[in-house]
This record gives sequence, C-alpha cells and structure tokens, in this order.
Amino acid sequence: MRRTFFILVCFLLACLYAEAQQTTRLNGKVTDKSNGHPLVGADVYIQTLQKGTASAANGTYSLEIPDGIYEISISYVGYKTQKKRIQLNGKERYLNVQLTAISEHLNEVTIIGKSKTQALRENAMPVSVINMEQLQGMVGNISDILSKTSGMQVRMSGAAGSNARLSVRGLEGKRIGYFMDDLAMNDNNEFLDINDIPIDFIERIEIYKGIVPARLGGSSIGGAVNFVMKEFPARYADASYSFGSFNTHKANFTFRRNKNGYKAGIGGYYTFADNDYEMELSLQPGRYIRRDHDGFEKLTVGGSFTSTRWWFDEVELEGIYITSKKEIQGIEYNIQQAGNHSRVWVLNNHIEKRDFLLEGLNLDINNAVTYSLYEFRDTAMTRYDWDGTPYAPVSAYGGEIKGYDTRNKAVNTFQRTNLEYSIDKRHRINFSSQYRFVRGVPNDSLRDKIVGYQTAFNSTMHNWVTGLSYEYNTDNQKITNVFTGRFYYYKMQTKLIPAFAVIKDTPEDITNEKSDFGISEAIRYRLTDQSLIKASAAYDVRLPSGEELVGDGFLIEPAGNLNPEWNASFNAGFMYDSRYNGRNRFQWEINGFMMFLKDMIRLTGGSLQSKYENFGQMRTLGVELETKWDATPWLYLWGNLTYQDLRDTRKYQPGSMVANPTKGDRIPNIPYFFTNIGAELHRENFFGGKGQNTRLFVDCSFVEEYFYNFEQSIHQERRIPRAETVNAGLEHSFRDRTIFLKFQMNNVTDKQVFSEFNRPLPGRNFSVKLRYIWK
Amino acid sequence: MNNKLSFLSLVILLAVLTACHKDDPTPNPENTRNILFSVRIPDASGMSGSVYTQLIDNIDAATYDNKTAIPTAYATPPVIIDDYVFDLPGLTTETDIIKKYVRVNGQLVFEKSFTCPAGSGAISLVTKGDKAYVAMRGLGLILILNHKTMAEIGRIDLSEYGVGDRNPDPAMMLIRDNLLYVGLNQIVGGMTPDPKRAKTDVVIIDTNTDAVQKMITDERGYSMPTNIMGDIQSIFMDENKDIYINCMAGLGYIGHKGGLLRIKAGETVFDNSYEFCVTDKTIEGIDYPLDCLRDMVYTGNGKLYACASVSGYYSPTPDYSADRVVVSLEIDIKNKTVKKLDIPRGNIFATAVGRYGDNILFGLATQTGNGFYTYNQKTKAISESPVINTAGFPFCFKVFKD
Repeated sequence: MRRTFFILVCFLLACLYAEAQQTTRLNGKVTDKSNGHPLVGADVYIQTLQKGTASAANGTYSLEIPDGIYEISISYVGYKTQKKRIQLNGKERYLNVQLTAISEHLNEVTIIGKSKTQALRENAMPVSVINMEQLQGMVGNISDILSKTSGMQVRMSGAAGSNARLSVRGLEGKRIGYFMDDLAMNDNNEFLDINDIPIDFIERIEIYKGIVPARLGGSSIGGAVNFVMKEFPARYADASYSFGSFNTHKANFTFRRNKNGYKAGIGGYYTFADNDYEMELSLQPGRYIRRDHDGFEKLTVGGSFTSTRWWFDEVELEGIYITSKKEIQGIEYNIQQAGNHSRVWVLNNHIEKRDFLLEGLNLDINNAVTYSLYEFRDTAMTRYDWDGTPYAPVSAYGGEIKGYDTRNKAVNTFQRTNLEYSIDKRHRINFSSQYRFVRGVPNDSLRDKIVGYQTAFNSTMHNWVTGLSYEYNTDNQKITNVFTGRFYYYKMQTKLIPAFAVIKDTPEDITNEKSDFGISEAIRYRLTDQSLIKASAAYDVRLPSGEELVGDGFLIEPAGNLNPEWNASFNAGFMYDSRYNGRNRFQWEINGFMMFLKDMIRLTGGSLQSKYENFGQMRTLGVELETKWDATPWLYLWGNLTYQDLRDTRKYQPGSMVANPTKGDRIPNIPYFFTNIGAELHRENFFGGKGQNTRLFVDCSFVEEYFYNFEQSIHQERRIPRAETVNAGLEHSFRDRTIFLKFQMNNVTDKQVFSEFNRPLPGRNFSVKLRYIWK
Repeated sequence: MNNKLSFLSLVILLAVLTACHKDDPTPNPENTRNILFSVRIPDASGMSGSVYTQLIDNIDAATYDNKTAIPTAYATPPVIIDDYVFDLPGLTTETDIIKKYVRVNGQLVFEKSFTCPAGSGAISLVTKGDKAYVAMRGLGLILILNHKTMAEIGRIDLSEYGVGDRNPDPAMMLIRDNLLYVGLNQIVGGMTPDPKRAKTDVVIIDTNTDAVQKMITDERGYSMPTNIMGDIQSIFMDENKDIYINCMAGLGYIGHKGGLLRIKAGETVFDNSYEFCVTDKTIEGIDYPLDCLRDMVYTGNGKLYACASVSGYYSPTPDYSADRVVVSLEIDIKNKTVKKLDIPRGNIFATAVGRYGDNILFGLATQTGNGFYTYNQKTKAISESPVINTAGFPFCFKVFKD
C-alpha cells in the first residue's frame, strides 16, 4: 500500500511539473512523401536552441519552445533533409512535413532510406524485429508479443510474476541470451523478468536466432533477445495505469528533461496481482481450484543523469532499485505460506563517444555494480491438502516444500566495452568485451539445521566474454558478410561438502575454470531491390553455470567435470519486401534452419534430482514462414508459422555401447508446430473529431499438442494439449496521441491452456489501460 | 552433523526398484503372459521420464521395445495382487492417482482408479481380503482402500511415530498373522535418517481393528528399514514365517550398519539373536565395501539374491550414467555369507531382481547391454549378456501366480 501511494505521488508530481510549463507547443507529423507512411524516429531539431526531438511511432512529434522565429531542421536517414522557418507567438502550432526518399543508384541496386527495424531485418544474421508500431496498443506483457514471433515461444508457468522462459527454435533457458540495450541480463533472472519491462518503454525487440552478434556478450548458443529501450525526447513525461483480471494493477511513469547539454530523468513501474484464476489440478483431473497463493508485487524505480558536455558524447549515471514479493502457488500440492522477497540496487555508468581517438571509431562503455538480496521462506509448521486437511510439515523445523529460510546476498560487478571501427564504407570491425565478477554470500540456517550440516558457502565468479567481428560490404551494398569470433572464460571458487563424505563438517575448496571459443559466419546477398537471400553458420559454446558446476550443496550435487555445451547451427533464408500500388507494403520471409546440440547439460537422476551431466545430443530441422501485409491503408494483416523438429540423436546410452531407445524420437516438452495470424484495423478519426486514432486488433495463436515424455508407446496419453487462443484489443488515442485508452481481452474463447509440463495458464482475462503523454 | 546422503542415492533408488512376489511361482505354459516387466526412460530434461510396463510369455532370449507397453508411474514399480496390477504414484509430482489394471487375455486392461491426497507419495500396497493398505510416505499415514471398489475405507495416522519430525516415512509393508508390519524410514530433511540415530523402527498394526499396536525399535546400529521407494521384497518372510527386513542405512552414506534384521515367527519384537551386516564385509571379487543391499528376492532355503551398490566404483568425479557400481549377489541369510555372481556391473539406475522358475533375473544397465541377465540356481549358469533385452533401464520383473 505504501508503494502504491509512492507511485501515485510520483505520478502527480510529474503531472504538476509538466502542466506548470508556459511555453509554446509545436506539434506535427513527419511522413514519407511517396506513400504517406509515418517516419519513426525522424530528427526535429532547432539549431539555435540546441533542442530537438524525434518523431514517435506514428510520425508525430511535439516540442515546447520559447516564442520567437526559428529554423527547424527535419531529417531522417535516407531522406532529403528539410528546413522550415516558423514563428511562434504563444499559440500552439502544427507543422506537418513530408520527406522525400533519396534513391541512390549504385549499379543496379537501389538503396532506399529505411528504418532501423528494416535495416536490422536485412542484416546478414537471422533476426526478427518487433518494432514500436507492433508494440503499440498492447496492454498485456512482453510474453504476449514475443509469442507471436516465428520460431519464438515464451514458456510461462502462470500469470503476472511467474517465470517466463525464452525459447528460440526449441532451445531455451540458459541457452538463450536475454539483453537490455545490449547488456546481458541472464544473471539477473531472479530480479528482472522479461515481463517486468513496461511495453511503453521499449523501442524495439531484436530476436537473433542461432547467431548472436559480437556486440552482445554473454554465453548463449541458441539465440538472443535484445530489448532496445526508447530514447525519449528532450522534454517528456509519460504515465499510465492499467487494471486487469485477477486484481492485476500496473502503473508506469517516466519523466525526462534535457537542458544545456544535460539530461535528467526519473521513472518507474509497479505491478501488483493476485493471480487468483481457476485451474484444473493436473494431477487430479476433474478437480478445479482457485489459485489462492500466487500474489505478486514488484516496484522498480530509477533515475539518471546524463551529460553531453564532458568530452564524451554522453556520460550517463543511473541508479535503480527493484523490490519484489512473490507467493508460491502449489500446482502438484497445496502451498499456503512459502514465498520469496528480493531486493536489488543497481548503479550503472554509460559512456559513449563517436570518433573516439580516430575518425570512425565509436566507443561504448558500461560499468555497473549491483547488490542483491534474495530471501526465500518456507517455514510453515502445517501443510494442507487441497481440501484443507492438515498434515505435518516436511521437517521438524517446518516447510511445505523442503524447508528453507534463505537469505542470499550477492555483489555483481560488470564492465562492458564495445569498440566499433568503420574503416570505410566497405569494412567495419567490432570488438566487444564483457567482464563480470560476482561474489555470492548465501545463507540458510534453517536448511542447515534440517540436513545437519552447512549446505552453501561463499563463492566468487569471474566471467569474461570477448568477441571480434568483421563486416564487409561490397561497394554496391549487394553483399554483406559478417564473420565473428568469440572467446569465453569462466572461473568459480567456492567450498563444498564432498558428495560421498560420511563426515560432513569439512568442506573442500573447489575451483572450476573453463575457457572455450565460438565462431560464426553470416552472408547476405541482395537479389533485387525487393528481395534478398541470407545464409549463416555458427559454432558456439555455452559454459556451465555456477549452479551447474557446484550444485546447491543440497538438492544438486557438484559436477566439476562438466564440459561446455556446443551448438552448430545453419540458417538459410529468403526475404521479399515490396511496395506496390504506391503505398502498400508486402513482406514475406522464409527461413530454414538446422542445429546440432552436443554435450547438452541436464540434470540426471529423475524427479529428486542429483547432478548435472553432459548427457544430451539432439538435432533440429525447421522452417519458419512470416508474412506482413498492409492490405489497405487501414488494414494490416500478418501471420507466421514455425515447424521445428527436435530429435534425440544419441546413438548409445551414456557410457555404454547399448543402443539408445529414444534415438530418433522427438524431444519432449518442446512445441514442434505453432502458428499465429492477426489483423489490425487502424484509422484516424474513426469516430469523428480531430487528432484521434483508433486501432483494433485480433490475434489468433495455435500450438499443436506436443509430448510430455519421449513417445514410445501407442498407449501413451500424457501430452500437453493443443492450444488455440484468440486475443483482441482496442486502442483509441486523443489529442494527437497524447491520451490513450486501451482495452485488451486475452483468451477470448476461454480455452483451457497449458504450458510446459502442463502448467495451467489463465482462461479468459481482460485489462484496460489509461496512458497520458506530456510532450 | 553429518547426515547428507546424496540425492543420488535416492535417485538411484527411484531408478532401481524391482521386486518379485516372495511366493514361488511356477510357470505354467498354458497361461500365457504371466511375466510383468517395466523399463524406465528418463526424458530430455532429466527431471522426469517414463516407465513402460508390459506382459510377456517367457524368458526366452528376446528383445522388447515399448510400442505396446502401458505407461506406468516413474517412481515406483507396479504391484501385482492376484490378477490385478496396481500402479502407484510413488514419490513424484507427476500423478496422484492409483490405477488398477486387470490382466485379461495377456493384456493389462485399466479397471478403476483412486485419487490420493496431494503429495501422498504412495509407494507400497499390500492386501488382506478386500482391504488394501497403502503406505503414503509423503504424508506419514497408511490409507486403507477397498481394492475391489477402489473406495477409501480409512486412514491410519502415523505422525506420532515420527522421530525428528512428524512424519515417520512409512515404506514397505508385510502382513503376517493379521498384523501389518510397516518399515519406517525416519527420513530427516528429505534425504536420510538422522546420522546420530542408528536405530530401526517398525510399526505394527492390527489388521482386525486397523489400530496401531506398537512401534518396535532395534538399537544395534542399523537404520532405514525397508526399501525407500518400492521394493516390496525388502521385507519378506521365509518358509518358517520369520520376517527379514533389509536396512538400507541411509544408502550407505551415514555410517550406519546395513543388512538384515529379523522378527521371528509368532513374535512382535526384533530377534536379538540375529543380525546380518553386509556393509562391513570383504567380498571376493568386489574391491570396496557394499553401501547397502538394493532390490532382492528370497527363494527359500536361506537363499537371497540381491543387487547392491558400491560407491567405491565411482570415478573421482562421479558419472552416474557411465560409472558401473551395481553388483549382483547370492546371499545365504542363515550362514551369513555373501557371494558375488559373475555378472557385469551395472550403473546405478537399474537394480531390478526377479525370479522365474529356477532362474534369477538381474535387471542391469551394463556397458554392453540393458536388460535381464539370468542366473540358474540349479545349473549355476550365468548368461553372458541380457537374455531379455530392454529398450530402457530395467525397472522391475514380477511374475503372476497362475
């Protein structure tokens, strides 16, 4: 409640501050002259004031300017810059600008100015990009959006606050990198889930499949998802609040101000949810209960100060505080008290300098320190059956799960340096280094008391990933080639009680040190103005994580002999992108891929767990299709389809010459066929009036039934059922996209939907959102 | 302060179970498919997997796949009562349902089910008349079912017999003279008994009244009586109606004695004149001490056949899949001798033992074969490779009484 109050106060302060300004407002819209399409991110700049902004997703912009006469420059990459003279005298002004694309004929290839999103899609690497336009109108969370991407699944285990695991082409978990503004976030999973990120703050989402660019560090072999956050205009405030089913509340706010080369901003978001939806108990078919211990609350606040006047182009100092509480909902058995509470403090410094030391060399540095505190309590003295029948706890000291009173502290130091050097138009080199040092101080006195010895010890971890890539473009831009090499280093030191020691009071010093390398090659060839082909190959490794190497001292045994996982992937794709009738775009893309994953690290031993081993080996063959079509100026249609066939390829059972009975079987618990289609209607002033915009969308998703275990028998019934869901939403904005009203309904047909291992997901649910932007 | 036993060991037990009826089934060629065996296949995540159960006619050399097998619970082998097969949830979080199958024309046909309380960990079932007693290790109670109708009759709360916590962890059971003997594992912290308490507890229940008669405790240094997961033969009667109980001693990792204790016929106390420790013996052909006896079958005349694990065979950094640590044994429980049989060592995931006529079947996962090796009690012949080759780790071998 205190946090809700805090958010409201911030919200009100932001409102008051914004409304107190008495300056003249200049509004307008920047569009492509040839087709009227809005240009996203166009620069609108007043040289004399050294002030500017960028156009938003619909091409609109807004500036607060003192009265006077100014020359305004409107520019966009690939378009001819326009300059307009304008007089402001206290009355709000509108200035719409149409820019003309520069068609640069280089031999037979025509390069047309394009957005960052389009440029990324035409990258040599296999990548899907979700831009701001696609994000608009969404009231839900990031999972809803990512799940609509070809080759991509988000494995949710529940509603708000539940774990969301990224899966790219069937590879998931630690094999998939997760980045924010190029910074690896995988190590912060306990504190920052992808669904915590407010959609309104995201500029675009880049989904790399199979190959991960050198600038993204981290050890990920299956792909990566990079969330690129918005660069807000010079003066900007944005606040929103949404309310949804299961008592879900979300509030966001951000406030930015630029002045005299300095920028300051504060922002935050808050989520609260009961998640009290009804579910069928998967272990007791036909029995339904309402979830009653799945509450979630999270608050994130942060502030930043940036200078553009201290020799570097930008020096930013940022502080963030995150706190969250999560109850544990029992699925297999009733849980009424266990839950976790985490807090994290982040101090981040970001430095950018173009033409650093020599022309064409761009420097990008991040230095960050994080202190985190993770608490998990499982101390109930009584357990209950679903009907309320009481039972003894799992230990004399209590517990519904195993009995925990965990209090883990960690200090995480991070340094990232990225150097990009454009030698000329044809040659570009990128060097990236990410170093991380983590000191962990775990404590669980209850666990130690239950098992009778100390289970966790202080640890240190050094992790360094460095990459070097070379990009070559032909003069006519017809061919682009990117070659990347990576080096990984990992060292972890801790103490452990030996697995077979009878006397458990003498821990041994443990040091695990690993290094390895990876390479990738990607090439793109432009066939015509509208079409291109791309191909890539990668050999990459994932070093074992700390948990995999040293276990947890209790449930998971140490495994110091683990080898890195390696993955070889191949991708070939064709992309067609055309505009016909002068205005309607049609995009079509097909990708085929093949992967071989070896030495897969997995827990061995069945339901009670024992230790990680290099055990698996599998092959993936797949194809993705994606189509986007602006059928009319007001109707957008899209669809995608993914077939990914992951098969066990182990010839023999581990450590033997015995044939593997599941060789050739489909890997269980991973969807192999899924498709999405959608339609969106968008019209200005659909309901009359001025400056209004309406978007109406419907999405349909289909995931074919897939296997829970290896399918060996004709009598096997245990499967994760087919999922067919329909989501629909309406967004209406007023005052040139200043006020937004949004409504979204998920799972409209109220189908029973299960995720991995038959985790029940919510039925029909809705959310409404109000957003206000001060420009 | 030194109790942990690795989860490995529990896992191992999960993987290993096997049991056979103590009665001496004589194969009748007119009754087909009187053999039940199961195999176990972990899935790609390693967190769970499948068990496939099927009926076969005989133990002639053959290779079996799982195409027509019935999927059964991952953690506990099925229990045979007459012509019925009970599939118990065991200590997993994959099902709460006890399924009852009937053998019809050589096929297992689903008949009825019973949904247990959540987290029951139902791991063993014995019957007396229409009553079935189901040990629920997860909840510390015995559930009484009418196994004809699969309806609940009652519950016997054992929480007051818990030592260290309020759950005594009831495991395998046996009925003799209208008394139900229940081995109590007394696990503390979810893994092993308290290392400081080397005692063996058995609770005795009057099956006429379904009331607990008493708990008996042996204090000679043994612990963890009866198989922690599902080998119902870990408490058995010999031809004299003496009860023998296999004490697993925290699977060998907490310094307690492992081996056999006895409750003599007509008595309800431990027999102080008998103990048989197998973990302090030097056995010819085995380089290290035994951890404990795993699955077993008693064939009469003092002969007990069992698998045992030997952690000394683990490589310095254990590889549970590749390290072959399970040995096959012939034990004389009267003369207290242990002899290693010349069968290849298997990994820890398969320790099934069963009997078919004169043949003892050892279900093992060796370097060269997965399946059931045979030892003929009369000829002393040992098969060089599995006679029954299985697609997966052998999980159990049982025979119907035809």
